[in-house]
Parts: sequence; structure tokens; C-alpha cells
Amino acid sequence: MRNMKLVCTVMLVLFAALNIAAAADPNAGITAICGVVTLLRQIAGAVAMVMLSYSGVAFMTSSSDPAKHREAKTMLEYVILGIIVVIMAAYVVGKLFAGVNPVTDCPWV
Amino acid sequence: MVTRMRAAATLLLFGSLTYAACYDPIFGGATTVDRTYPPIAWILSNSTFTDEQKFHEAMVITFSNNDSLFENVYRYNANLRIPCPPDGTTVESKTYIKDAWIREVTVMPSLIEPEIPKHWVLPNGSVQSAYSYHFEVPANASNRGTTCGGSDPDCGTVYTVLSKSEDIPIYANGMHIGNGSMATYNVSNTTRALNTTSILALRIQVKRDIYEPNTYCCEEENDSCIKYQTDCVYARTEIDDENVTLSDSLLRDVYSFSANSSIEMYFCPDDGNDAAAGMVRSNISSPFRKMLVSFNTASVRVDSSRYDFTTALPPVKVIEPVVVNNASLFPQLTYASNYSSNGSSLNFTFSHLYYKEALNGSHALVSFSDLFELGYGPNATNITCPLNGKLAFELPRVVEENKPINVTVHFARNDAPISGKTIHLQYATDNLTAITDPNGSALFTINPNRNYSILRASFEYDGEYSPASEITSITVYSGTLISDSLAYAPPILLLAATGFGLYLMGRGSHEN
Repeated sequence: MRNMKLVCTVMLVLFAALNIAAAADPNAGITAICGVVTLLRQIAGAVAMVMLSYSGVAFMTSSSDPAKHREAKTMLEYVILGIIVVIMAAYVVGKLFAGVNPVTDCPWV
Repeated sequence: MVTRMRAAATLLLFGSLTYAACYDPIFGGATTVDRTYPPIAWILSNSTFTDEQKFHEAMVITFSNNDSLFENVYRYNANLRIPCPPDGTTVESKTYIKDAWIREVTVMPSLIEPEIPKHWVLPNGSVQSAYSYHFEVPANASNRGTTCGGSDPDCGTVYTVLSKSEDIPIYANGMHIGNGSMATYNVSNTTRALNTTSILALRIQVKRDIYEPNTYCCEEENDSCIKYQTDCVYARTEIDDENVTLSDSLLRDVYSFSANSSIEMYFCPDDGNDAAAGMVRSNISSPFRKMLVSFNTASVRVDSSRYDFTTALPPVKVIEPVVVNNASLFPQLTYASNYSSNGSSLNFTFSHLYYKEALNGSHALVSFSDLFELGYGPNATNITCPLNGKLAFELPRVVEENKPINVTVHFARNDAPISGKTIHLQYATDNLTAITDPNGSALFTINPNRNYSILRASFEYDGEYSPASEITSITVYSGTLISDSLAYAPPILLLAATGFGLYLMGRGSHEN
């Protein structure tokens, strides 16, 4: 819950900053947010690789200990779910805002 | 000496009253003003007033009774004494007829309308004139001769007035209507002009017996005459016949009034709590004084003019009523507008707040009081109330700027659609027109503008339906602002989703 509040606060501040930036240049906000999203996606990719590797190794080495095995499995499930969310986000957003001119400047959309 | 005595004995035969002073400096020959009446006495003693102001104020007081203006004016003018010729009068003097003049004073009742200009009189009234003259026959000579040795005989002429006559006929449009200083006339209503003429015809016949001196010697001495005597000897008789004919005329416009009125109702409220509205059209033959528009007991009176008076025939100060158009037209009829009159027709629209008192009536009255206020002429007219329709809007209330929207205006009476009627829609600077379809709907397309939010639909009276109008408003937002804001939604959502994915990845480790 605390993390959710933090994320929301960060996004609100970001949104305000983007609006201020957009007042000067309407495209500046979009460009900036594209960069942030790209950065997050790259971080997510790196995190996914690390977490996937870690949870995979833990899953394979914990077969003797049922508790650790269950932990590794849960971690692996969350990592895979997070990867799916990150990958599907662009697709879903693109579909949702198909008629509203989504961020075409972002190369990954 | 004999001549001076004869002059003093000149025989004067006056043809009218004569006064020591011709005119009162303020009131001319007026006798109707009671100068001892305190308010008038105060006015006359007030040195700050000019003579004209004194006269005017005294007239206002004199006329402030219950009698009509025209009755007062008649009483005043008829009692004027005019001993001296008013300005501009032709005065003629001959041997025996002296200082003869005649003036037409006024025609009563009369009314000056300076703006047209017209000098109205009624088809029947009075003509007043003033005149004066006198016959003057020189004194007769005594025709006494002298005694022997005497001097200064008085031989001359003996005058004998054989006859003298005066004739003062008054004519109206060539017809003899009377004699003297006042006569009544009566012409037909169709007569447009009245030409009155007063004539002063004087004649005198004088016989002159002429005596001539005959001087002879009455005493001689040494064959020469030392004294003379003069006898007056009749020489001859001559007859003088002297005539003077003077005339004066006035030209007036004969007033008659007729009106043909109609009322076209624009709107009759269904419940009587609203104001009725309509248009009065009147063909009028002449200017009028007052007009009355009434719905049963509810009425509105219109005073289009007021009375004043002026003076004429200086320095006599004959009173002439004047009608003055009200500067602010129809101040009493605050519900009238679009007044127009070209002298022969009169149009104005009106609304009547008291129409509820007349809901049961099927007719209204438009009646006029003529300039002489002889009464209101009947001008009953039927009224037909138009049907009342209602307008209703159908349109999106929140619209984006510069994105055209369709506006439908429904026109119906008791929920029954009214088709084929022209509806006007006013929005921003646009005035659009459409005709209702069989469903009573008129379709418009407008381009929303953030500076304008009011739409006004209206229907103008078409002879069948009352005028109707309806107003509504729309909220216009900026499309640019919305699209700009929407542009942020995808990346923000993307940002959130990516963040959530990252959160899920990290959550796996925390779950342990």
C-alpha cells in the first residue's frame, strides 16, 4: 500500500511537471514522458532478467525444501506476471486510445 | 376766427364705439380679465414679468375654470373691444367718411396646428369682425353778411346730409351669413376650406348749398364809396355722393375627423396573466387629440397633443388656441412602440397588461377624440386572437468548440406539432432560418463558439400563430485543451502499467 501511494505521488508530480513543461512546448511533456516510459521499460527488462534468473535458479535448487520451492515458484510467477504487464501495457494503451491520437512520437507504441 | 369756430363745430357721426385710450398696453382691448382679482393683480404688479408674461399668466388664471378652452376663448374674444385699427389694417379717409377700417378678428372655434401648418375651424362656428368709421361733415357757414361798413362776412356752404348708410355684411364661402361684428356660419363637412369676408360699405350723400359774397357800396361821399356792405347770396347747390368700401378676409381649414381602425392581435395569453399584444392600424382623415384603446373595462388613453394658445391681431391680443404635439410621443402609453404616422395613417404595436380583464370579450375599441374634443368617435373593431405555439430546443448541452452541432427546434401547440412555419435561430452573429417539418421540427446546424452560449429561437406572428420565442444555453469547451489533455493519458497509463509491472516483479521477493 505504501508503495502504491509512492507510485501515485510520483506520477502526480510527474503529471504536473509535464503540464508545466507542456505550457511552454505542447510536445515537450509527451517527449519527456516517452523518455521516462522507455527508461522504465529498460529497467523493467533488466529487473525481469535478474529476477527471472534468480527465481529460476532458486526454483531449481529448492526441490528438496518444499517451503523454499514454494517461495521460488511464487517469485517466478510474479516475475512472469510483471513481464506480461509491462509488455501488454503498450498494446492495451494503444488499443484503448486508438482514436485519440496516442503518443505516436514514442517509437515503441 | 370763423374758420376755427367752424372746425370746432365739425359734426362727427361715429360708426362705432370710441374710447379715450385705444388699447390697454397689456391686454389690448380685453375686458374679460378681472384686473382686481388678487392673483391677476399680483401678476400685473410684478415688475419682473414682461408684458407678454403678464398677459400669459393672467390668461392661464382666467381660463382655469371648468369650461372648455373653446368656450373660454369665445367668451374672451367676443367681449374684446377694438376701438383702434389693429396693425396692418387699411384705414381710409375721404371728405365725409373718416378713419374707416374693418378687420376680421377671428373665426371660432379655431385651432392652430403650427407644425403642418393648419388653422382649423369647425364646419359650424362664428365669424367675428371689428370695424370703425365716422362721418364728418364740415360745419355750416352762417351766411351772415356784413352791415354797412362791417367786415369779415361769413359766406360759405351749408351742408345737409341727405342720406347716409352703412352695410357690414359677412360672407362665408361667398354666402351671406350675417351683418355686423358677429355672424354664424355652417358649411358642409366635406368642405375643406372656409373663406370668410367682412365688408364695410359706407355711403353718404351731402347737399351743399353754396353762398357767395356780394359786396356793394352802401355809403358814398364825393362820388366815391366810403363804406361797403357784403351780403351772402345763394349761388348754387351741389350734391356730393361719397362711398367707401373696405373688406377683410380670413382663410381657414375646415376640420372634420374620421377614422377607420382595425386591431390585429399578435398575442393573447392563454391564462390572462400575461400581456396581450397587437397592432392598431388606423386611417385617419385629420390629426386627432386623443385616442382610446380599450378591451372591455381595461383601456389605455393616448394623448397625442396638448393645448396652448397664442395671440393674434396685435396689439389687440385676440386669443387663438394652438394644439401642440406632445414632444415625447404617447408618454401615457408606455406599452406602445413602433409608432408611425404619416398624417393619414397611424400604426403602432401595443401590449396590454390588463388583458385578463377582457378575456371574455371578443372585441376591442379604438376611438378617437378629434382636435376640438367634440367626443370620441366610435370605432369598434372585432379582434381575433391568434393561436399560441411553444418552442422547445433539442440539442447537446456540452459541446466542443468549432465542431458543428445539430440543433432541433420543435414548434407545437398542446403537444401537437405545427408544421410549415418559419423558425428563426439566433446564435452568436448567425441568424438562421428553417421551416418546421411535419413533426414540427426545424433543423439547424451551428458552429459552437466559446464566446457565445445563448441560443434564441423565435417565431414571428404570421396571422395564425402568436409570436413565440425560447432561449437556451450550451456549454462550449475548448477542443484543443481536451485533446491536449487526452494526449497525456496514453503515456501516463503506459507509465503506470510499466510501473505496476515493475512492482509485480519486485513483489515476488517481498512475498517471501
